[in-house]
Amino acid sequence: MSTVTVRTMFDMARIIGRPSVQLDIESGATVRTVLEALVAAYHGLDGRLFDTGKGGLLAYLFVELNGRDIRALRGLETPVQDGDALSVLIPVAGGA
Amino acid sequence: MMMGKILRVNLTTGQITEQPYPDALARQFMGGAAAAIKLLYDEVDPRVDALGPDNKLFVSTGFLVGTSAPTCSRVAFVAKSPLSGTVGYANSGGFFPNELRATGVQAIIVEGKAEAPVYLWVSDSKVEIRDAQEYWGLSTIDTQHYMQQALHDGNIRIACIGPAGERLVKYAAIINERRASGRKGLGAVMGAKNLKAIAVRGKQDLPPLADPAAFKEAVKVLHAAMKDSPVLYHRFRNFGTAGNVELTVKQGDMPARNFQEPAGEEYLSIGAQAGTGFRTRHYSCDQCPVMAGQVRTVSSGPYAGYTSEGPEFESLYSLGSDMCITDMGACIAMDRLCDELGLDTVSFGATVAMAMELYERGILTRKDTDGLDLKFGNHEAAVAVLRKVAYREGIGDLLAEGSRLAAERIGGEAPKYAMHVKGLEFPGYDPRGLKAMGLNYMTAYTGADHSRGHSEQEVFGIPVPHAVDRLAIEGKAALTIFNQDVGAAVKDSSMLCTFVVRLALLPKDLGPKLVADFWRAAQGYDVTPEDVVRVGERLTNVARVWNLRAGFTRADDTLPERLLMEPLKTGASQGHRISPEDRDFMLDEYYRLHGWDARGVPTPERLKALGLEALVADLPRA
Repeated sequence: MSTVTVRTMFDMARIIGRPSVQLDIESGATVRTVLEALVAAYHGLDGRLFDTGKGGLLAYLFVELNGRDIRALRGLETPVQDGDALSVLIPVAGGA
Repeated sequence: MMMGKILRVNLTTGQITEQPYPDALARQFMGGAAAAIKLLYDEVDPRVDALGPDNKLFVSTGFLVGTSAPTCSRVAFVAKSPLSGTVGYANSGGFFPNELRATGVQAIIVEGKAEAPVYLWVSDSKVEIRDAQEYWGLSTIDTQHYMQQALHDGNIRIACIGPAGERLVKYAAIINERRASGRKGLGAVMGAKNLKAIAVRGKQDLPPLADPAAFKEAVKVLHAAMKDSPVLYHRFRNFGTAGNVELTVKQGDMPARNFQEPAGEEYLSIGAQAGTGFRTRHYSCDQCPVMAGQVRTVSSGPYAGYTSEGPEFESLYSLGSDMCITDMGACIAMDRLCDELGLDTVSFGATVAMAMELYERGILTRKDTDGLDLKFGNHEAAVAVLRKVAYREGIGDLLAEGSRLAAERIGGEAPKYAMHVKGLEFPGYDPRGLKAMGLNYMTAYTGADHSRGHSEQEVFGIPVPHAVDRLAIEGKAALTIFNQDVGAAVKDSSMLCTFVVRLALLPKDLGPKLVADFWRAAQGYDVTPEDVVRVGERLTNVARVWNLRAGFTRADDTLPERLLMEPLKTGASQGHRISPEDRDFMLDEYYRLHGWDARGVPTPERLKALGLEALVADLPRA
């Protein structure tokens, strides 16, 4: 069994009750299985991560594994290891 | 051609002339910032004193300004920057830009220096240099209020300076309504010319569009893209730019304590969600349906009664985390005071953050700070310093010079702690976790400027032109060139709102295409998306050669020692820095892809390919 930290923001953090949470995962886990475990643990997240129609993440989200955009890795199938940190990010737009 | 006229105002002689917009300028540089920077190149010697009469101020709108295209009421101010000595460019929105275009004026060139305070009055029928003695000393808000009252017209729009600009604070802003052309110290350029304000009132129809039906179709496409964005009318409207606090805290890239550490969860107290508790209304620029502006009011505590249109994200960093201030009320109060007194929030906060570090290290003492306990987190001291900077009193006179010059004057180890590139203080993204942003800071023609080549892919995860690993240095040269050149054309020259480009157009890779459609329909030019990007490439090269002539070299394309040598200590970007080797790797590739030599000098071949043959003679010798 391994432990992964998942950081979230805005409404997702509110549903979870805190800005980050630690999840125990089986070996061989991927980003997808960690996020699915997160949704299973917090049912309020249903429909807030995955696009049920297209199967991937919702278009406005992006996910970083240890600071790296998973789309520049192996996407949702990127392997996750003990001690890793996943950030589920919602860009709004800063800059002014 | 549907471009308006160029107004040339000489404050020394009082002469005012008009000229038609040169077709070659419109074709090669489109308008907005690109056209203004080309005029700067042609008319201002890079070695002039930025606060002397030989510097010029260029006020420039784009071809979309004042049309039915939404979110385009934007204006560019350009001059030699007194803060950095580079090309100085800042822009703002609000209502002033559309009003200026409605006078029939596309751009204004202000030359010389008036003997006594004046303001420029531009209307449909009249252009006059008028006495501004009665307004000198007033805040930007009072200046606008009393000028409108004196002219009996509440719809007059005014871009003006406050006490900071009058006193030549090196990072004084130009304010129209409550919007700021904040950065690069262009307010001090106005102050040095004794120019308090530019007041405009226009009721003219724009010159006819070349193809009204095609233009209408492009407007429909823009509206559809905006509506299709999953963020623009939802989270962005609700949170505004402050939403970036939550994001960058998670990424570990929001600087705190003068870049000694990344901002942690404790700074969510100045984030978007906390901000909604202060919001009293939304506002928008002219012809913007998004209304993402957040008017926030403090209702209790020591800053009760302060209301500000903001603070925007960069100000929440500079007035908040960079000074270790977690009190949203203090940030709102300082944001308001900076606007009233005419100060750039970013350079002000970053300069004071440096002073706080120097104070904590014992390099500055209470004797130097007029008795203020200038430790990190002391917002009361920061507010006191703000007033001192604006009026150049005590320690404020030193800090009014900006971090680079102030640190040089303090001497010793102080320059090590000045966080700037080419004299321009950093905005709110620590480049150690955002490598393309770091390369952009190093190479942007204005210094450490997020607005020139914002790495949208690294910060916002926008996968266009492709998804990136923000912690890697490979591929960042091409990405930075894409961000700088496309942004220079699509945002800075057409004057489309940066947020609409980022949230609605970039994700669909629609920016150059849509601007080409607009440009073709407005001007009748046979242009492609590639021609639009070419405008940005010209801007980048013209500004580069001007800066080289000003004396900047490859050695200036760098970062402060802290960012090169000290890895981030905590957060999601922990352990990362941009080492000198990383810097050199990215710079070499950046120059090569630009068609520049190893010194960062554009090659004659590159300039000729861009139609900039005339610049070849100005290149420094090998």
